[in-house]
Amino acid sequence: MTDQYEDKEIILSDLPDDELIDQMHDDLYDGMAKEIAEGTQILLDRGWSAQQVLTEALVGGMAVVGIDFRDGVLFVPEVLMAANAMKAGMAILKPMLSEAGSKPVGKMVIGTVKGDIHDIGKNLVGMMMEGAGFEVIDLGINIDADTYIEAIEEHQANILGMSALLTTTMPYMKVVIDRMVEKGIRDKYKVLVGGAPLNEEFGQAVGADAYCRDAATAVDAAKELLAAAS
Amino acid sequence: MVKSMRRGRRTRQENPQKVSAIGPGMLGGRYRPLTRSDEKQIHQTILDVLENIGMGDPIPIVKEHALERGCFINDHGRLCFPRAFIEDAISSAPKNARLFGRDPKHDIDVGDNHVHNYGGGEAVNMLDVGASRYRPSTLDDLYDTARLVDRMDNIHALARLVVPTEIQDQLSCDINSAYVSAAGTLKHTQLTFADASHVQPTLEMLYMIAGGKEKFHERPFCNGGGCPVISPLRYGKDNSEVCVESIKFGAPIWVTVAPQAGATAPAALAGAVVQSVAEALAGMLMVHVVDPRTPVVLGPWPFVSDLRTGSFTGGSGEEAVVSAAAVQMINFYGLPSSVGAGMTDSKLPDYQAGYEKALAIALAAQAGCNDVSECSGMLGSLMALSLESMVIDNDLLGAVLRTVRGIEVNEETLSYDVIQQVVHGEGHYLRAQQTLDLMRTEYEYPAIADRMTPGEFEAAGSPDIRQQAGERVKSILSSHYPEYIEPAIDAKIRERFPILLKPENMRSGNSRW
Repeated sequence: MTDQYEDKEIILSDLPDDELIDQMHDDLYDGMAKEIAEGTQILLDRGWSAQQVLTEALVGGMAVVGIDFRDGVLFVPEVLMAANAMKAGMAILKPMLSEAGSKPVGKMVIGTVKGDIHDIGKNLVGMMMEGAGFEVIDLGINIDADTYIEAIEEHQANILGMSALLTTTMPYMKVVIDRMVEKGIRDKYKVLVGGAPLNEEFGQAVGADAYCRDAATAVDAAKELLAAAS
Repeated sequence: MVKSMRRGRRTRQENPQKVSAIGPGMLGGRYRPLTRSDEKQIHQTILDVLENIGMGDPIPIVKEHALERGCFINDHGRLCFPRAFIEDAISSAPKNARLFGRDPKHDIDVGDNHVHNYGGGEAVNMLDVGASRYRPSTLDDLYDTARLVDRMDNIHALARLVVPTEIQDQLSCDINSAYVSAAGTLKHTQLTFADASHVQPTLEMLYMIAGGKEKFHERPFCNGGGCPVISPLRYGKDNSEVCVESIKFGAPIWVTVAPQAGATAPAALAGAVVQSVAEALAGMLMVHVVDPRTPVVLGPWPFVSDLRTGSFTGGSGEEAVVSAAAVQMINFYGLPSSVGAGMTDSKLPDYQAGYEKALAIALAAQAGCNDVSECSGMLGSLMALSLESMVIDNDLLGAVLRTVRGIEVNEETLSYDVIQQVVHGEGHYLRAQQTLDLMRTEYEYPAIADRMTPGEFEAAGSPDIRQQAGERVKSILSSHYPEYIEPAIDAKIRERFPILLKPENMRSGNSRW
């Protein structure tokens, strides 16, 4: 009996385009960064545009990862490996994309609010967003309103993401959003909030566009909000 | 002398001291998930971690004292503790300490595997009686939890069970939390502070409640502490400062760390135990270098991630066994211990909540945990508190404590003579003198758990335990409005501090219950 899944040496450059795309989807799923970088380069060498590689090979592959994560087939560490592989491809594509003037799926500024130094959840969201093709500017922890606002303006982001683990720091999200309203720039951005003690009602109360209970929800919410806005 | 049944009934009704099979401080320690060899290997790895990897970001006062005492900064700029220093600190640290109640009957002696249950959890939501949705918790809710803990025999001390989320000002939040705790219970209360500068004003208020500074320090009925470590292995500034400032209570400092296996601690459970105990020791060492006489209750609370989603799971079998192992390690050092147990992931007081709570609490108590925390009323992975759940948990805790007590085996309890008498006599034990002597002291009786016959149950309208618990919550909270702060003192406190609990909500007949 032959095992159809028996490991074989696959020479990526020997594969025709459609099989290579399938293989890259598999490699993304398995979190194989080196292979994704190689596949990305092969497609570019064959004359594919950077935008086409991004959409078909990378974002397409990560969509499968997202679905299986949502359905509990893939676990968080596996998704992070996939996002890391995606990043390896993006590292090659990014300079070409900006040269060609094409925009990323979206741009997000993210950080943990002032007074709070917990960043695991925020990092997870950042990685998942990158995995979905977003450009992520991570400000780190203990971020005050001015720093958030300067960053979204400077980077011309579409999305602001704020995280808090502490009940004592979560009200600061409202301070940031109120400051955005004061400056008359609130409507230019989509604001996502998340963190263990938050909930839907809190998100609405502080005036966020969405409360995201986990990283996968954040990606979905970001995509939906941007699609609705465009 | 012939005693009438009537007098017996009167005696029982007039004597408020309930006769019980169980009580606070029973000795645990029989459950040991780690072998002796495991303990030694874990200990050696903990020493390696603290000596070589060390702790990031110590606050200046701690760094200064530690360096003076032979600790050093490694190439990564982290504070490292030489193993001989750690072992000296462990052997010289206070092993036993008393946490005072405002009534001496509530005093708690920690150390030596004595098991006590704490209310605590800092939830930000309440699940109202009969409700299925959470709502943000308030100061009135915290007051209710204190009053309810006051009446729950198997919850021996109070910590902040819910956060008054409506209070934006953090100083006001901390002072009000301390106030409503003291207004609601005479049991020992563990306090939380968002900032070290909140300790002194809170103490000033507690002095007024105690009747003076000296009076308070004779029997400090509150203690302070915090969560001074950001896992992995980094001191957090604010809570480090709170822990050091809390030395002012003249009471044991509580130090809790909560690394999460798979996310902020190793996925290997042994590694999670290593890191959480190392971090708890780092918390103790921080207090120790500043004041070696102050006892520290070490709380290595290894949390567990659900790696499918990355979120915290408090109700798993892994959580139960790593917590018990962490307790075993603290007992290996002979130091006072605390873990979180009963942190179910279920959102409602249901079957899942029951089995998850029972498993974790039983293992922690059997391991000999001095302070089994988060064990009363918590739901939804520490996100919410239910008063019904708290009342059910009180029964659960009673049953667990009964297992901690175990079985006394001696010539009398082996009962050979009683068996012989009954077999040759009446043929049953219901009227045997031994049964009469032991029926209250050998057996623990739940307050609300259902032991009706199916027929009685149906006749009573098939009430489930949550309904029964809800009735009990309402009955206690609509009537138990203790005057634990003298009115004259209360007026002075309200003049000086921004107390937000309305006086009318502290008397029966208000609209809340």
